[in-house]
Amino acid sequence: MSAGRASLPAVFLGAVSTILVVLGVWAWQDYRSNAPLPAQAVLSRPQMAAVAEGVKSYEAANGRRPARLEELLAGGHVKPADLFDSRRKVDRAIDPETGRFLATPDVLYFPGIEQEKDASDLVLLCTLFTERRDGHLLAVFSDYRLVELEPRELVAALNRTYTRLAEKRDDP
Amino acid sequence: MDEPLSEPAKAAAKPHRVASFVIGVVLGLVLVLCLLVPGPRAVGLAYRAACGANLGTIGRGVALYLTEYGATPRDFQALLDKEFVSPGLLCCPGRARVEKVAPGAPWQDRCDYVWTAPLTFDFEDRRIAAFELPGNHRNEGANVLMTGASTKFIDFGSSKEGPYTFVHDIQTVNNELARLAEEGSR
Repeated sequence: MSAGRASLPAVFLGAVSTILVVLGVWAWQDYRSNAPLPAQAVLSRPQMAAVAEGVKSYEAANGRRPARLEELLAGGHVKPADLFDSRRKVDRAIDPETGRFLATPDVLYFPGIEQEKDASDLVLLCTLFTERRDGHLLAVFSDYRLVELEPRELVAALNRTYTRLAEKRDDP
Repeated sequence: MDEPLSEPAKAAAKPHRVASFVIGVVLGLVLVLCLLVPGPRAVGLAYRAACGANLGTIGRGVALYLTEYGATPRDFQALLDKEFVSPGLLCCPGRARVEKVAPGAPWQDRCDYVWTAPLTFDFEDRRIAAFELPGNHRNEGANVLMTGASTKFIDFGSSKEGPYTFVHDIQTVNNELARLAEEGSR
């Protein structure tokens, strides 16, 4: 075996190992950053539908939307489990004696949005988290439509909603 | 029992030593490369910092707007109209990495930040004035602009309560806006 033939496989092996190790480190970093977080605030589609139905039935019964989601619980319009990520312990999130929230529900609620006075494409309820990276976000519009939105679509809808609330605050 | 190598055997072993040396050098380079070349994690951290800087610049724009007009802007459009911020600042670099937008698209279609239209903008309030969706940074956290133009990254990895605090603080803003709107309508 000559010296030249002996060193070529070694160089090849070295180059391949270089590439493999670099790719391995990157893949590990990517996996770590994509791994689902143990604690999140994600609501499923059935949960969102249940909360939307709860607000609707509350409005039908009281002639207005609730000022707080706690009012939905007190009136029996939603179940506690509808408001929290299924991985959270619901009994720790609600005071059993008073019915008040000890932790904020995992759904964002816009109490100032009214069906008659405001546009139908304003956000009434939404989630800010998705289970997967680049997943769709759930939102319920003022007319009780439950939709799945791209992140930028939700951002646009939220900006419209806050602008409208500011208008109502500043120009009643 | 080892016997001493003959001269021809020693000559034959030389190329193997050379090859081993080359492998060692290459493996050393591997380690250096791993340390020097930024992986996805490092790139993500850089985007996170750049995103926070965007929000900080927006905050300074809001402070200037407040000084000039005596009130906070209702939306980003007001800031853009008066040229206190440029449309590019409304894009999070982390989101831009995974979701491209057509050039020339209106700012509403490329905006990654939500402006909560706070009534005041001073340090005393300590409320969220603008926020982004956690998905911009792979759900690891979210940058927020506080009233008073300070920014912070709410890290969901280091604190289990992080996501709940984030939602709670925004819900507080929503409740306050609804209360003020109701008071205004009376």
